[in-house]
This record gives sequence, C-alpha cells and structure tokens, in this order.
Amino acid sequence: MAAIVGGKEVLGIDDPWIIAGFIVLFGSTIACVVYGVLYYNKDVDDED
Amino acid sequence: MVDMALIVGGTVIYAAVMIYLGYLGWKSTKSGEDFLLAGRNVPPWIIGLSYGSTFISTAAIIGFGGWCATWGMGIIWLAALNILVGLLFAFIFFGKKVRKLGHKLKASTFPELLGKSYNSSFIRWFMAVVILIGMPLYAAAVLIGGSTFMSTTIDGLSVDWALIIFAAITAAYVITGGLKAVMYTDALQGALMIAGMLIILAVTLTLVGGVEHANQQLTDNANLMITQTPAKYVQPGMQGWTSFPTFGSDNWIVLVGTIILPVGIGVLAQPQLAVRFMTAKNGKALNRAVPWGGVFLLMTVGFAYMIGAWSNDYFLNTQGKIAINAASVNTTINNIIPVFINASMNQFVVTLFLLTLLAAAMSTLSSIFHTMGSAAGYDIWSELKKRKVLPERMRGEETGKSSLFKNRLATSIFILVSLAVAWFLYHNPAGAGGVIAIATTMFFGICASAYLPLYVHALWSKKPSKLAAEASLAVGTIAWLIWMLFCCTTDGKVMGVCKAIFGVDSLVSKPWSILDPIVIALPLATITLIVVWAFDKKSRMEAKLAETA
Repeated sequence: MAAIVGGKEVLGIDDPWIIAGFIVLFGSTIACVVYGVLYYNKDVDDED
Repeated sequence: MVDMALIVGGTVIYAAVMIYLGYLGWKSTKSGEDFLLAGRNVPPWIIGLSYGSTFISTAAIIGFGGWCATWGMGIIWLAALNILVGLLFAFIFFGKKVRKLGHKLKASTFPELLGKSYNSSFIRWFMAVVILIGMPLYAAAVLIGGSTFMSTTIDGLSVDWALIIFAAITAAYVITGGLKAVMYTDALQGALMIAGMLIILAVTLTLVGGVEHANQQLTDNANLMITQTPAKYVQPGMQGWTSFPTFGSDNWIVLVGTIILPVGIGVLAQPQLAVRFMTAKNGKALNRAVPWGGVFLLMTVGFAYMIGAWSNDYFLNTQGKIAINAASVNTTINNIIPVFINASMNQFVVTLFLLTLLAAAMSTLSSIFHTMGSAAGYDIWSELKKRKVLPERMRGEETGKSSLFKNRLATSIFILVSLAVAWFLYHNPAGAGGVIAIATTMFFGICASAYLPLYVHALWSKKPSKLAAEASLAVGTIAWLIWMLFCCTTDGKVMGVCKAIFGVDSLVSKPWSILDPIVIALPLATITLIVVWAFDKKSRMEAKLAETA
C-alpha cells in the first residue's frame, strides 16, 4: 500500500476527493454498526 | 454460455418463495392497520434490510454502476451519502421522531402523518395526489428495468410477458399480505442482494488482481477515458476513473448537481421509506435496524460502483477496450455491468446476478405499489368520506375489514395503472423512452422539494405553522414543476413542453440549465416556510399561549 500523506497514492488512487469518498463510505458503515451496538438496549424514546 | 434451465429454475423457486411469504402475510393481515403498518411490530433486522432494499432498485446497481464505469469513481460519494444521510441520519434524527409522532397521532401513512401534524386536510390530499401522479412513472421505470433485463437473459421471453409476470408476482404478495408481506419479502430479497454482490465482488477482484492493482491500472490509464470514450458520452471535466471531475465543469455539475445531492438528500422525504419508521415497536428496534441497513447499502451500491469501475480493467486486459466500448457499439451505460458479468463469470454467478437484480427491482416495486394503494385507498378515500361529495351513507369512519378491502382494491387498481404506463412507455420509446431514465431521480426530487421542509418543521417545531407548511408544499411543488419543464435541459428535453411552446429545450443557459430542479425548488420551499412562519402571527400567538398555559 502506498503512503497516505504527501500527495501520494492510496491503494492506487491519487485524488484526495475519491480517497475521502471511500473514507466516508466505509466510515459511515462502521458508524452504523457502532451506533447499533452502543444503543442496542437503549430505547431512544427515553431521551425525551 | 448461460444455462437456461438454471436461470428458469432459479426464477421459479424465487417466485414461489415470494408468493409463500405473501401467503404468510395474508394470514396475519386482518385489518386496515395491519395492511398499512404491518401491525407496528416488525423486527429490527427486517426494518433495516427492508429500508435498504426498498431504497435500492435495479437502476442504482446497473445504472449508477455503469455511470462509475463510464465517468469514474466520483459517484462513490453518492453511496457514502446514501449511508451517512439516507440511513444513519435518517434513522437517528428522523426515525425516532416519526415513530413517536405516528404513534401519538395514530397515523398510518406519510401523508396522514404530516396532514395530522398540521391539522390540514389540504396537506394530506395534496401529498397523496403527488404520490399518485409521480409514483406510477417511478413504478413503470422499475418495472421496465427489471423486465428488460429478464427478457434479455431468458431466451424467448418477450418484454411484454416479462412485464406481466413481474407485476403479477409482486401484486400477488402486496395485495394479499400488505406491508407485512412487503417487508418480509424485502428482507429476503435484501439478503439475496448482499450474497449476490459479495460473490460478484470477490470474483471481480480475482479477475483484476486485487484492489490496489486494479486502481493503479485505472490511474495509469486515465488518458484512455478521455481518448476512447464515445463522443456522445464525453463531458468537459472528465479526468480519469480514479479522479473527481474538474470543479465547476459540466461533468462535475452533472455528478454533484443532478446525482449526488438530489438522490443523497431526496431520500429523506420518501413516503415509502418514512413509513418504515412507523412499523417499529419501539426506539430500540430502530437502533438495532441501523447496522443492517448500513452494511446492506455498502454491499449493494458501494460494491456495484467499485465493480463498475474495475470492469474497465477486465476489458482492457482481455479486449484492449474500455468498458463502455466493450459493452457494445450502440450501448447505454446500463448494459456495462450485465455485459461484464456475462462475459467474465460462470453460469451460477450469472444466475445469481439475475436473481439479485430481480430482488432489487421487486423489493422497490412492492413498496411503490403499497404506497400508491395506501395513498388512494386510505388517504384520499378517508378525506373523501369526510366531505359531501359522497352520499351520506358512504361517509364516516371506516375500520376493520371494510378498510382492508378498500386498501387492497386501490392497490390492485394502481398496479394495473403502473402496468399500463410501463407498457405505453416501452412501446413508445421515441416519445417517452427518456422518461424511464429520469423517472427515479424525478420522483426523489419532487418528494424532497415538496415534502422535506414541512416534514422537518413538523418534527422539530413545538408549534408548527399550518400556513407556512401549506405555502411551502405549494411553492416546492410548483417551483419543481416549472424548473423541470422549462429550465432543466435533461428533464425538459424528455418532457418536450418547453420545446413545444418556446422552440427551445431550456429557457436558461449553462450552468443553470444543467441543474436538477431540486437544487432550485428545495431552497425556495425552505425560504417560503421560514418567511411565512415568521409572519404567521396566529401560529406564534398559539405557541406563546401554549407555553404560558
């Protein structure tokens, strides 16, 4: 895997916008899983 | 070579399972509320998978996958927004409030939820009418997409018969089992889509030598995108498959202004998705649904876009051509992924891909049919029953089996309407073919422009202003219609109204003419809501009185 910093390529991709798109894509999926696990037994209605 | 016995056998087993689930739904659907909201007790994993598979249709997989093959990975931002905004934000910020409000107001549909929030019959019927005008086109686009693919894969099956078979199987379980059957079949279809896309991604990666090798080859061959793409697909601003288009170029405006923003934000106000929040028993069920939906979206749209881009590597290595040229001379971008899979994978994967696309189309279609049926058989009919347009013996509240019958009847009627629209559009490609390509983004666009501001206002304002909501609904719808018919070149060309009256496709020049109607209509509807709300003294006084009381 190429270096992430210094304008180099990441997994063969050199455009920061595309790299950022993939980070948001996988990051959001991980966030969905983490949210589901953290709030598994928390009834959101209780917050109000 | 595709094995017909395998494909037909797989399709028959698939159809039989769907109809069986419809039968199970029918057995437990005893009232209008069961039909509309699946008894408000759907398990979380079903909610998550059903939300995702309703959202994602064939167009999202082969249409946008083909877009990625042709114009590059910039569209990955759409998949990212689908998960971040369309799922995570939607469940956390909208889902919880919609479920509570729906329960409090005893609302069973999206138009009823907002109509009752504002105590406005106008909002309820206006929203239902927009659904009943816009959704048959959306349904027809999904029907034609699925049927055309079935017809090209199964020898001897005409598109006309494919349309009928496709609509009949879906109708069988939607009409009998209502939302319970829709959501349970959605979940099964969603699981099938995950399995299909996972296997196709794994095979693709072995064909192209892994992620880094595949991307590196695309980066090194970026100039081929500019030199080999057929002239009709060339857009100023293209920079290669692993690069975002040049900022402000035509390619950038099309990608950001007509795909990423409208579809990414439009999803928040989709009636067929919002109603899923109301099927949850409690807030916990919504929390638990989030991982299922997120992983589903990554594995379907996320994977489809990567496969689309990497198909260029495969075709460059095997045929020395980029994907759009390898697919066929007079192809559309929708053919790229099917051609890639047919050319590179064995018959089991091809069959799995066919079933994946059938599942994607059917899961979206069943929810569209159900939403149209509930808009006509519940929202419009309930409003009519309050008015003197009907004889006195037909007026009043309706419950139980009578309500269930009306919903089933209305769903049947709108399935037939959708089938007729699909048949007409398919057989008049010169005049109406373009509608198929833009119907999905059009429906997403009008829903967001018309509904989103008052939807947000209803959920977050302590005393929402009825006047502001009605004005915003009207302005959003009218502004969207005007921009779609007279300013947006893509939509305007297809509709032909601007050309017929003024002799041109658009009354404005670039870059305005490339912008999707939502980019204009949604801000206008939002400003209208804010301005009218600020001047709506009656609403503010009522809020003040409520606070002091």
